Amino acid sequence: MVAGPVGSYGIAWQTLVSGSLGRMLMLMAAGSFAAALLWQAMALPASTPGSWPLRFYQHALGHLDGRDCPSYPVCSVYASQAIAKHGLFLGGMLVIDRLIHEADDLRKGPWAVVEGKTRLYDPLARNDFWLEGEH
Amino acid sequence: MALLRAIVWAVLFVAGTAHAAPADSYHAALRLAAQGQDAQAVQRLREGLNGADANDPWRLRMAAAASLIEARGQTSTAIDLSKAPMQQAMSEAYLKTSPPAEAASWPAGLLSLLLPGSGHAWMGRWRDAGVAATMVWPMIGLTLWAARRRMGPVTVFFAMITIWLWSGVIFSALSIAEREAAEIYMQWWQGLWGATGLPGRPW
Repeated sequence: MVAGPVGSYGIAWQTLVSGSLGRMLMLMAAGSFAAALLWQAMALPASTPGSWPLRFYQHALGHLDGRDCPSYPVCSVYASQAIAKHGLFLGGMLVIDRLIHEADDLRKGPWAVVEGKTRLYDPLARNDFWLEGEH
Repeated sequence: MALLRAIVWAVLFVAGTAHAAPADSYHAALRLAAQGQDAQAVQRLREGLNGADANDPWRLRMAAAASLIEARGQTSTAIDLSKAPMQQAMSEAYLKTSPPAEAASWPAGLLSLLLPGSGHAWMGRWRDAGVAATMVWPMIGLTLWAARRRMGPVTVFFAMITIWLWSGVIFSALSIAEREAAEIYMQWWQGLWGATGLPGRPW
């Protein structure tokens, strides 16, 4: 049986990945990606250790998915505000709530035009007002 | 002649400020209320109320506005307008046709506790329900899968994530229900404000 072009590419790819050269290339690619993320992280503004994961997401990872947050303030800013005001547990709950209620709110509004883009206006005060009596 | 003119101007000025002062206090209080400073607005209205003449129509407006803004701060539907009989009479028709809607948040929370996503669906938020279910149900499945294979630490890890997300879904259902109740109350309250015929908008 003669292997067609697709089969040939498959065999070549298998050889590349399983061989030492392939492993080295994969390692280099992963290393470059990690270095790029670290390079991005070097430019982070000073922050407390508790907010490092969020800052890392904002400055290093957030740009990678290529999708703008449709809400204002954007989810990572909302998360930092929520955690700063209510602590990690309640702040985390508010973040989960934001991720859930965005789905239906994006059909209903209210809207705000920010830098020329229409966004869902969803500040923290709109969602945490009922927790005020809890503190 | 100049003295007479000065006296006339002085009389007019005093009369003008005496008339304008309660209105100014009223509108300044409404601006405070529009900025969310309800307590200060009520205080300002009550101060203006003490200084106003008994027959001044602004006295009634300030009394009514103070009661309404105070009730809004407490999300109360029991609003005492007895000190402003005209506004009370005007609001009666509105209160008959639009009684305040009572909304509780606990059913949504309870439903989410029993069946993740159902609390959102109960509120008619089907997309939210889908997101909530997508967050929790696969994690429940993963936890059960790991538990059946006796994968101790992995099971604990998945279970913790499940509990965290499930708590978030319950919290979200409660939060949305509270927000919707507050929005319904605000619509009712704004209608009541309009029905009393009070000038200005404290929102």
